[in-house]
Amino acid sequence: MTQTLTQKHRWIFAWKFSFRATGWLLALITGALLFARLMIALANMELAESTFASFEVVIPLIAGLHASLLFAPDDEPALELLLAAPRPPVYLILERLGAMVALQGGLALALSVLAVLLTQGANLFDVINHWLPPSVCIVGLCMAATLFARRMTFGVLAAITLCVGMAIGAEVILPMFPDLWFMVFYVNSNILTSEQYLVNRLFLFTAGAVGLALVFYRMNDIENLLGFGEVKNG
Amino acid sequence: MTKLSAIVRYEVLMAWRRRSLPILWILLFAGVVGFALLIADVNRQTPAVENALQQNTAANVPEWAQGIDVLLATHTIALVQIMIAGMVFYVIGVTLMSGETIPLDRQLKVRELLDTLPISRAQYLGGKLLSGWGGLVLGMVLVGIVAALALRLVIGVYDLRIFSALWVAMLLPITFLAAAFSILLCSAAGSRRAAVLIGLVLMPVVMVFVTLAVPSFAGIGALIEPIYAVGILLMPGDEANAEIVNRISNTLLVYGLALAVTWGVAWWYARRRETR
Repeated sequence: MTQTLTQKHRWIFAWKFSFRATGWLLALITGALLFARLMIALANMELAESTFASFEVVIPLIAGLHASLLFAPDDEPALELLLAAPRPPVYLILERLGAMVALQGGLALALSVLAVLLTQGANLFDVINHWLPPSVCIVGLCMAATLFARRMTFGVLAAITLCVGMAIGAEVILPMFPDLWFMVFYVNSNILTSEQYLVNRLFLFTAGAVGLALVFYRMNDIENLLGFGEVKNG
Repeated sequence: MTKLSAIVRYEVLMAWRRRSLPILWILLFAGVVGFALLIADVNRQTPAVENALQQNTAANVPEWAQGIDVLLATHTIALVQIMIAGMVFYVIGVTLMSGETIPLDRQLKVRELLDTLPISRAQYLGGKLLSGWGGLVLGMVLVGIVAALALRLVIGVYDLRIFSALWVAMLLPITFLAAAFSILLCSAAGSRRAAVLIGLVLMPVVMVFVTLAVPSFAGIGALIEPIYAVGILLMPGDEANAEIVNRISNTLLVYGLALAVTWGVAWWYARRRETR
């Protein structure tokens, strides 16, 4: 009896399909952009410090775009079939997110290590701290935007709007509204105290986690995923 | 003509129902009013026209500066900056959201049905393009009215003639071009996902055309009141007006050429696909 129950709940991950559905093109673009930036830094070591700023801009933007393309109910070719599989629907998101994290995160981590090795006095934790919290934030929010709007266009638009907004925020909005330091992606760690910087990073993590929690919660509502009550027009 | 208008009417309705149009209209409104809120504050701190005019004594005030309402002129010049920022914001949205128009027919498996209808390639592509343009124009009219009122509250008095000229000249050509790029070039895509990816690739191309719009169309106000040449960093006067007319003509020519090439590529692709 115990054995039967254990077998019944041992759900299988469809990794091969998930990697195919996730796609590698955007990860390749991230890698190419960051690698090119590292090469430029190598050619001129005076520019090496600003390499980390490039990491902060490129990784969250492309991770956000990639996350938006992961799962949109209206754009999924065989949604009914996928939902009919004998496992929780949340696995659909979990395995694609896992594939994306492995591709984008692995590449970003490898290039961060390379950047630290090439730059004197650089700290790996600092480099990761530049790009990881904004990436978590944008991935969570964009996945939620795509899932709730049912279409990947909205997620992509959210990713671009967030990145452009945050770039403007750092340069224009922050000097006017200094109290918004806690939510800006590209905040300069030199103008904040270490505690404020920590709060900023934690806030971004939390915002992303809330986005992801909403996504996982929504994935359990199969009727909504199938679009009952929605206008059937694409 | 009836077939064309039927495609246009149906597509506008579908874009409204799948929330593409309202999102674009909201984006335009948020872009314009959001940047107005930002610039209004900067403008209060550094009133550019006031400073420039104060440097001129009564004796050497140029002809174009005589009888100028400084407050009105300052606020209206700020409009140029607002419109540039709003235009960029809007064009990004248009490039991304318009691409799905034709791929959706394939994704929803109605393309085969459409192929059985007696409509030509040009009618099909033209109908899709005109519907995209129609929805955008409708939004620009509605959002224009609401934005004009909102801007009055945010930045204060401004010249409504200049606002109307900027709204039409700065938004219409680049929006039409971005929508044409997106609708026609994404016609090769078989799904909305592919269309989004093509839209992302198109975005830098569209931004190149946006940079052409800034020094040309943003100066259209100077053709109504010479002082507004200041908005694109030209010295007001007849020379500036001639330069602006020249720039606008050149930009329109480039846009027209780009549109014709895009149409040609999409038409050629559709023809090739049908003969396969």
